[in-house]
Amino acid sequence: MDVLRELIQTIIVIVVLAVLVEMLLPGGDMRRYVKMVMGLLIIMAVMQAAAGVIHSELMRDVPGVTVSDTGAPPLEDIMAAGQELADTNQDRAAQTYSEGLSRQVMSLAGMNPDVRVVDARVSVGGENGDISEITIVFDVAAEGLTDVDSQNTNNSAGDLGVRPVVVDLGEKDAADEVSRATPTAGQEKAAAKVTAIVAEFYNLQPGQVKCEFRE
Amino acid sequence: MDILQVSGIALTGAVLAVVLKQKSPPMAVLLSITVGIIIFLLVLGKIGAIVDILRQLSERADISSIYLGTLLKIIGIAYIADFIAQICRDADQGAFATKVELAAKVMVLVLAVPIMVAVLQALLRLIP
Repeated sequence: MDVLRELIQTIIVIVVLAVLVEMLLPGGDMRRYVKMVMGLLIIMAVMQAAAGVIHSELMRDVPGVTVSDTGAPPLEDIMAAGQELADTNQDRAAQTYSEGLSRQVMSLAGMNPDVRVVDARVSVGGENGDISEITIVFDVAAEGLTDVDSQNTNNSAGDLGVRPVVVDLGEKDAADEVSRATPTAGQEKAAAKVTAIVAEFYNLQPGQVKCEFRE
Repeated sequence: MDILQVSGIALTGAVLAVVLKQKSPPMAVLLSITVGIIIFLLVLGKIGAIVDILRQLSERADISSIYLGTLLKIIGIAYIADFIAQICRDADQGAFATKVELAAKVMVLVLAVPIMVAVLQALLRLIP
């Protein structure tokens, strides 16, 4: 009952306020415009009062009135900050997407038992996050998955010998240069098969999927 | 008492403007502008009391001071635009008056946009 009484009191005050403000309005053509805004404010006030009484979150995200000369930053700064934020988020999303794709490529390439994949780098570009290039790194030293499996089985410490995935979206540094190794003919053939499968899976041109060999 | 002062100033200004309009129309326009500004300044001091009452009422109704400030700003824009447009019309410059009114309408709508968005958001949140 007290809640209802409080709400009615508030609405009465709002009505008195509205009448008082209406008396202040200028005549002429401007009156219609000011009355429209005043009506909106009264709606806001009544809804605010109702939301406060029923403890609702109705007016939680109501934006403040920022279009004024109250020392707020200019629109250009706000737009620039928003653009910067969008770029940062887009870069982050591209990086996350690239990491996920790298894991997918490694899993896909790892299904071939003839070669051992140690790394996969996916370059993502364009507005839609299209894959521009995939580089799969094979381990020349490993003879095949069967050998690795036997090594893993003998390893009592449970170390699977999997190297961490490194994703590089930018230019390669000199320190990141890998030591190239010469693969055997069988490894080259298996690697070519894997790259063809990956290219077909992601609907890429064969030239977009590259392979590297390292020891 | 104040209304007598305002009325006296307005009446004197009107008589002088009528006389001046015969001999020197530009001076008559300048006189009407001056009289208008004087009356506006005389009334300006009284507006503070009304604003105080409005502020108290808005606090009582839990209305955010941001919204009351916006409303008062809009009323101020309307009054100033009306005042200047009237002066322009007195000076036979109807085109200027229309432009001033247009500018005021745009400014009022710009100030009203955040309130419209707020009302819209609140109404949409009512829908489950």
